[in-house]
Amino acid sequence: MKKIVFVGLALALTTTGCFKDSTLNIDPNRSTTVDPSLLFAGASTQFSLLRVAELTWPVALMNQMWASGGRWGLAQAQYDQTRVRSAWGRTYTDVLKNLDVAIKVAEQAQPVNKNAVAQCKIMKAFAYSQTSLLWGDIPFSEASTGTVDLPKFDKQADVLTGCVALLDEAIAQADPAGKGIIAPNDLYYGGDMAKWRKFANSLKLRILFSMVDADPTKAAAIGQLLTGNAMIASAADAMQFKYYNQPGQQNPRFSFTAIFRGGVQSDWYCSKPVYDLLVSLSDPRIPYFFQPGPAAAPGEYIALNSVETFTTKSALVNLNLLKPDLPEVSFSYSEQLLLEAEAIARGFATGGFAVATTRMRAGVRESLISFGVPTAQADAYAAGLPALTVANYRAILSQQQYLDLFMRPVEGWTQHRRSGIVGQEIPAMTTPQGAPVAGLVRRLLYRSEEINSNPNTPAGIAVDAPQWFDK
Amino acid sequence: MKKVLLIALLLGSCLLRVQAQPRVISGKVTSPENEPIPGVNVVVKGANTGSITTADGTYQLTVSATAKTLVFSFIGYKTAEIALENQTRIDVKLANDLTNLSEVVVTANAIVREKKELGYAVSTVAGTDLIKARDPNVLNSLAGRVAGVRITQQSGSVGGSSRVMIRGANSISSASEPLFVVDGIPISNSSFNGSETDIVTGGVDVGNRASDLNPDDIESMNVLKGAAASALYGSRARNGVIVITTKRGKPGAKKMNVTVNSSFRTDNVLRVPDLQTQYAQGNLGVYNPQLGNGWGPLVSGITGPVLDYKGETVQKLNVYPQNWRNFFVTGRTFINSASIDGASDQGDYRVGYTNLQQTGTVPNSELGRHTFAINAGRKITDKLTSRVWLNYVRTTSDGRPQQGSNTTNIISTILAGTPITVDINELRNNLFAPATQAVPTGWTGDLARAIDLNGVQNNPYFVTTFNRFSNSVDRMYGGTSLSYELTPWFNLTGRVGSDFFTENRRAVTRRGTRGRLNGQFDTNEIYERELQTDLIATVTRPLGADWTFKGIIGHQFNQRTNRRSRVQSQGLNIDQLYTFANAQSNVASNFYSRREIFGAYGDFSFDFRNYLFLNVTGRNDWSSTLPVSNNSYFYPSTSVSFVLSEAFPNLGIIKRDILSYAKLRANYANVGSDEDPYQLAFTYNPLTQANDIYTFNILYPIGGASAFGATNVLPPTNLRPQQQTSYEFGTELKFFGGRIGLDLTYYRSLNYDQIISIAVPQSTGYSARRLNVGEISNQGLEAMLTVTPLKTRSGFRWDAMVNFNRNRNRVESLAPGLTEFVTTSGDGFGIFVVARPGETFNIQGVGWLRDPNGNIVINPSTGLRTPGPRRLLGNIYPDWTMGISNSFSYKGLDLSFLIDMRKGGVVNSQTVSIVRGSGLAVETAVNNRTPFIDPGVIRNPDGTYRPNDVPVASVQQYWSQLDNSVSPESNTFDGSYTKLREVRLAYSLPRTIVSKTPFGNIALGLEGRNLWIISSNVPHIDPEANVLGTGLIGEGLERGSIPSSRSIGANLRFTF
Repeated sequence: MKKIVFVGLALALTTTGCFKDSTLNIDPNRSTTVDPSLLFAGASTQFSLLRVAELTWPVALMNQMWASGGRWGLAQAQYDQTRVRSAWGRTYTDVLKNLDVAIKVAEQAQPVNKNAVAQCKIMKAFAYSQTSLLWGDIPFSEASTGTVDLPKFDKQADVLTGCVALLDEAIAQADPAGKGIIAPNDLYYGGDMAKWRKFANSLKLRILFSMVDADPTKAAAIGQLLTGNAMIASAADAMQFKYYNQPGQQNPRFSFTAIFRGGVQSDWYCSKPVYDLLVSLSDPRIPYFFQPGPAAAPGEYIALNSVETFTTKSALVNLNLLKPDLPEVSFSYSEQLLLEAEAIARGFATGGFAVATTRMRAGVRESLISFGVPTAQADAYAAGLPALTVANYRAILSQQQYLDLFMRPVEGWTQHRRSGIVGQEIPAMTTPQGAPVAGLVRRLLYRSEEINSNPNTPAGIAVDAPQWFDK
Repeated sequence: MKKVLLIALLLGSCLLRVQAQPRVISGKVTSPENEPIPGVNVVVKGANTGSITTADGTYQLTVSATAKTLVFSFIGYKTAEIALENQTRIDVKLANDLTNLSEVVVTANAIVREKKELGYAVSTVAGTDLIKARDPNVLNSLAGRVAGVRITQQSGSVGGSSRVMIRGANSISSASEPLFVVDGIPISNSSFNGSETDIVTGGVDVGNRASDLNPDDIESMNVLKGAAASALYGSRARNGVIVITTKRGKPGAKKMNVTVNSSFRTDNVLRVPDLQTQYAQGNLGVYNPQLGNGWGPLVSGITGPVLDYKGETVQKLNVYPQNWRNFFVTGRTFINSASIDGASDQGDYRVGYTNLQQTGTVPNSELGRHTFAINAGRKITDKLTSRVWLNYVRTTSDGRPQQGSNTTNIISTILAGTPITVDINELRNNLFAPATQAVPTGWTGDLARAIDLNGVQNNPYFVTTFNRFSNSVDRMYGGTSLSYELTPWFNLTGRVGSDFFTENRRAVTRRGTRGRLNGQFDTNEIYERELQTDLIATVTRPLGADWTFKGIIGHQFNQRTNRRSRVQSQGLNIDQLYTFANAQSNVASNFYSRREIFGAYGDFSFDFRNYLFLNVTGRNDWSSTLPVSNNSYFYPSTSVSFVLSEAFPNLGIIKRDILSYAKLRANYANVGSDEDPYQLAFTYNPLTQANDIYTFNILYPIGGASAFGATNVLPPTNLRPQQQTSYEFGTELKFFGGRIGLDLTYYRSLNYDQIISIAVPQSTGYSARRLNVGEISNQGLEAMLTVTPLKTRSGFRWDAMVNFNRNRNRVESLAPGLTEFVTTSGDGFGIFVVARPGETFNIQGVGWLRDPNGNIVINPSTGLRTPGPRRLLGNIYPDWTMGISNSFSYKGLDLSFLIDMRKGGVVNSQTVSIVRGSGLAVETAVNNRTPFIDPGVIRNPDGTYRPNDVPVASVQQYWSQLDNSVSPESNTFDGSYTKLREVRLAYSLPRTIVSKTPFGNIALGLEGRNLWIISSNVPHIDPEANVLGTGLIGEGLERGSIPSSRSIGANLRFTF
């Protein structure tokens, strides 16, 4: 018996204190340190992918920019949001969190990598403002840090104000002479900090414009931005995420058709509100936006209302706009010019209607060219647009801004909601048959993942309840 | 391979030693009723020489000159010892033994015990039961045979996997798969199949590695169900253990026994959806060849000329009602095995080879497996014995079909949308698209023919011909042991064993596949290795006159290594050349992990007068995966067995042989377990892709940029080991000399301090936090009743067995404030498997909107149902399961059948959703598609409800509305079923015939498996299918599964 106890003890002793200095549980697959540029590349790619894919289709269909023809069911056109499944979560976990961590890493570097901090802050402001304009009140001040278990939902006004403040910080920190996140990891500007600063100012302009109807005091800030003249000033300054015609790097709008339809566009149809507007303006963009249905005659464009079932004659979104190497546009020069025109027309900046008209025509021309309309035709159309006046500027600008954002439903939807008070948006739209609400869709609904785990999530908001900015 | 054979031969030759001056003894063994008893062990006392009686009770044995006594033993009879003297013929009549129905059982760490000693329930399936009706996946042979063990076949794919669950789910966050142990060494039952997304979107059922076990080499399978039984196996035993003992050489009449077995079987799909046979493809009754569905007009009403699905103008369309069934082929399986074995008092050996060749029901799918097994023991000296065992398995397969959703290659999804006007035979002979069928602009080269003019869904034969998944597995497992008897009461045993395999997989999609026009392929290499060493000291000593003590002290080291690499290649420049250099993009990823456990354990048992047994065990583990400060954990178990019938042999009913045997047992146990490797630090992960909800992800590097992401799981602080406590009570009763037997068990287990990643609001920037939290319990009843209703003097015998299990699984608590935990999201369309406190695991999804009385609310403008909030759609686990088997034997003839029942639990079927939504299911065609009123209510403006009086806008809209993506409720069914699982007929040729042949024994068998779904509430499919496989939590989600098959086969077995 003694022997046994002895053997047992001896065996036990050989194994106590196991793994004390062992490296066995150090993960060989992951790193415990990282360069901010690697986090930045992941965050921006994920963000662009959401904008160009998951957020594009439901938003374009709900906002009647495109028609579904019932090809994927009519539910999305009737405001069903089940397919906006991962955008909320991925924006926080894969975009904002990684930008936040990247900022911390860059701030701890010796010396502090100020440009990387600035680039990440600009992207943060972009992502938070976009998320707020989609969902309304969202976690902002306590979000994406991992330190607060149940982040509170900040008011939209506070989120947008916070985004402007982030941009101001970034503009102050950005140093065009220094190096931050550069090519290839800066997939937008290749590390050109001058362009980043221009984009930051333009993004500020966009955010302030989304606020100004609800908070007229923002007019002054808009005026200052125009005076400051540090915004996007050419097509080369535009903020865009590039895709490539190589597998795995193609614009997902192309991949969608390639994967599900063998490359034959048969999912996205010509929507009546857009088509009617184009026709009323004799707009040369029709054949660039759309292609006739396979059974339609050449030049025969048959539009669908948002809950109509397609036929073989129904016109489709032009395959040229779904090319594999088209970039995802985050901020275009035409958007810049049209916003400037609006600022001047509304009196936020000096110049009066004459300058506003010039800016508007330049913006429209730029827009047409970006869709492939030949320069001469673009020039003629822009020149033919009526001069802006007190009576018409709102309609003309709203129409042109909406059309300009035809392939950018995320911004297009915001533009439409801010184009007039509830019920008077431009272009006019009606609630689709079968929708669960009487009004037009005005927000995305909070995801169940957040509702179930965060008691701070606001409850009981209808899809047609206007957000704070929507005045 | 030659090497292995050579080693086997060498081992064999040195183990066989010719005995001096042998003589031959023969005779016959009979029962008190003068019936011959087959299978009686006849051995020379004190030696290892022996034989077994044949079907007519006769034996023949060569004994050495020194042999003095023969021992005859058989379960249920008293052992007889007969002195040899100078006799050459010894006939023996064995007396019934009604009290000592002893059986030996292999328990934890290969410790052999008598069954009556055990204070816990243990179920044994004999190897002979596994080879009477063979299944390529040996786990399937357990279905319905063991109470408390549930086997679920995941698909009808060749080499498909089977899920095993013992006494319910023990974890909220991982699949509760048991540990598999072969001859004392744990082996892998891995079924690694990528991420959850990989599995539900076009995953292939790759099988589970336990299917590498070869039924021909198995002596017995013991199922250790409770923690008390398995505590010595340590952390990994909390889900139960399946202990497999492989065959060893047996003493026989000759020095060498040769056994040859040959099986053949055919597989046919058991059930395919019932389709309508009248309506062509189209929309709202208007013919449209662009669509893949059945929503067009009556085929008979279409008058030409019209375009058909391939763009050709035809005068009339035909109906092909049997497309689905005609697509599948008859699968064939050949299993041939041969083994040589022998034994002497110096040692034993066995060498076996088995060859399995199988073709599946899906065209071009096939599986091949070669198994070599060697097991040899040798008595080196009187005190030192050694054993070596080794198994080599090579498994190859090709053409396993993809399942799930969201990719182009899912056969079931294609078939579920194939219009009835498309001739499947035409597709078989025409794989490529004609110029008239949706050729993308500028496309050159071969293009898959589609089933629709729009070119959306591929010809299923194009998929099975070109887009194939293939794999090969090379696996070795085995070990060696050395045992030294220091004194007659002290034994020291050392054992080293390992299981390792390399698997190569490749899934290709050819250029020209619709939806993946440029082609792609995915290459995976998987390596797993497990190494274990044991050092065990055993002491057996009497303690006074009444007590015997047995003590075991052991030390164990276990190491597991995993290595995987994967390359996803897209865009092929040259058609059908699947090399990395031919791909336009290659994305490589790799993974490595290693974990170790040191364990020290003790097992002490006290035996009082051979009827009261007390057993106490304790084990301490040190795990590499836990925080160093908290990586040591101890867990005890105790069990008691009390054989009433031996303690009180003179009690009235026992004496009168009414109650022949009675045993009570009870136990309590605690098992601790560790964490996955590398979960403790905050890390940054290199990213391979940016994800979207659809499948067209962006691959890194993009534009030259590589990317990292910080972990989405907040690492734990102060992590503790996970814990399980359980107790169990049971009894074993035998009546009328064993004619009726009853084994009853009640058990309860509680798992707490589980290590789970609990969801945190995504707005925190993280998706989960890892911590010790959550409790889940199982309680249940297992009953096994065996009855021999009939046993005649002429040799006719009827045995019946019923086993029953009711398990109540309950999530007791989650993290404070957490009301729900999503374990698995079934697919992209809002169907989840969730755990909620107070409930078991449920399928959750959007339900139909209902009024306060539970009536479905109908939309008055369309007459259709309205999706409502998400709700629980049903429990995924059954309320109870039952197996009923009957066997009839008469002389050499043996007929048996097994019925398997499941009551409760739900199944959600995507196939049902698709065949209905596409207007192809038979129920979509009833009543000439006249719009009808869906029973329900309509909400009045004042908030009250009235019965629905609005007919559905159209039958097409009605069925489309029932789609899984709108609400899974209508495609979720009660998963109860009754199946005729197995029928087999075996016949051993009488001795009188066999003796005229060179053979020792000839047995013939006919077998049928998965023959008949006697009852089921799920339309169109076999209710057993599950897309999640064995690696994910959750059952009851069918997604594009290949229909299960019905097998019929024959078996021929003979020995020399």
